[in-house]
Amino acid sequence: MDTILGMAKINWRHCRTAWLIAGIVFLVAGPANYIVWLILDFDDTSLVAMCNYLYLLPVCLGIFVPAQNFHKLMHLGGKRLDFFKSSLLTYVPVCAVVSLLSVVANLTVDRWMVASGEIDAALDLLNAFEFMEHGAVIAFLQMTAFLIFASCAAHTLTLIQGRWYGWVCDAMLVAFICMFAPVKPLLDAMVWFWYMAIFHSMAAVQILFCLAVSAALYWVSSIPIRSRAF
Amino acid sequence: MISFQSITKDYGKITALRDFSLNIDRPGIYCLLGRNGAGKTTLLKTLAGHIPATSGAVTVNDKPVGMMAMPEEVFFVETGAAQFNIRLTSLFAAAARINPAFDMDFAFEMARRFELDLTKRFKQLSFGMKAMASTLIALSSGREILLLDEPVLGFDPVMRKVFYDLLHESCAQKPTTVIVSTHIIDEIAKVAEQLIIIEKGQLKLFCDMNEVDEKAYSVTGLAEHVAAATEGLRVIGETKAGGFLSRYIYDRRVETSDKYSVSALSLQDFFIGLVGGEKEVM
Repeated sequence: MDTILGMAKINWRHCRTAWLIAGIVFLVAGPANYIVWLILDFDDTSLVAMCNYLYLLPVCLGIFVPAQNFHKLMHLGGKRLDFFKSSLLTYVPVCAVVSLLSVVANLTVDRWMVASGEIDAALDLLNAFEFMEHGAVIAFLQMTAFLIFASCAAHTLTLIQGRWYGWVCDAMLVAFICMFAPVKPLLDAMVWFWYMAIFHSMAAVQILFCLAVSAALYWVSSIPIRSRAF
Repeated sequence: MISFQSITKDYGKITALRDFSLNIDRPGIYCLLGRNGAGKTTLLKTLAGHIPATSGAVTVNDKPVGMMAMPEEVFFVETGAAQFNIRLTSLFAAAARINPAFDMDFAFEMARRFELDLTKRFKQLSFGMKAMASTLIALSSGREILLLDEPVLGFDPVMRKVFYDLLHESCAQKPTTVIVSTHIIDEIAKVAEQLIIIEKGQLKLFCDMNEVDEKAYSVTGLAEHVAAATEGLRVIGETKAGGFLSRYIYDRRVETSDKYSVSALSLQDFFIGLVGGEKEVM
């Protein structure tokens, strides 16, 4: 367990690209959005909630931990199985912290800005996904589960790149996006998937669905880890 | 301790290891020699669990080695190993974080002796120093088995000497099995205890270095005298110059005579004679 936790700590501390991208977007895109809104003086006074930019962090970690840290951890004496376990341990706390910050910001800064008349509304995924309707605690759990799903998907998709099944998966994703809209049953399947992952009225179902899909996706990542060249 | 049982490793149509079997049952410094493409790196990676064997089995302390069952006892260092671009102190700390047996004091002591600047980031180091840093991480890992693939590539002669001294010292302090693959043969000969020679993916020779000292020698003199003295012995190479002949032998000793001279064969000459093709006639 020490080794797995140690690897997770290394991933948190030494995944600079992920932190850099998420940090730049958070620190630059948010204020830039606000400045543009001030300069152009839009009639619609809605702004993207600041903490929404942080959602990028779990996804970036899901990409850059396997892409950049895998080989380096192996050269430090790490084992593949430990990497497999530690990656999830890397993502889950980050998802929880981002989700928590997002909920706190939603309840404080965003509401204050609306109440003070600065803006009409803060565009927040927590509201768009209707998570906040279940209360702050449930919303936190729902967003955490959804972010875990997003980071696991990024993790697995990154690991399978460069392998034949990675290319097949990429092609299938593109094909699905292009084909789902015109083909009614496929469109229905996609709608059902996102309804379960995001919009289901029962929070417990949405959380369990996200965690189940995350577990399945994460398990798939053991296949490329097992055979990844080193 | 380490057992390769009829290992075969194919990369598509290319066979890197062919029915390779070897047992290593005591600690020491093992010198792994082979020509380029002989299968040295494949052998080390298979043992470390970084690549799977196509057939056969590898075990370490009777436990099978697999991609998801990489042996806890093994640490593999390859040439040009990518590391986190952080200060070396942080790099050692990171290694200690994922390996509780990592000996920080030993790592710092070695770094001091190698004059490694611990305040520098990894990418700020020269090629040789990068290799040294990676090797130090391995030596300090506290693992039972260290696999060093071309560790002295990029080292200057002084660094190579210090490196081999430290390797020797380190193994004397704690019993470790170190398998070193290198092309700088005569330097490793000073510290290696066992010799593994691999050719075209197959085990060519596995013996004690003393055995090589004893059985590998050259006989030089008039061609007819040398030919007569070495008849029936295993000749691994020969050179001719005028009426004189030198034969490289790997066999029992010939009787001393004033008709020819017998001299020790360097490990490099022995290796070249053994795997450099058929008897070479100049």
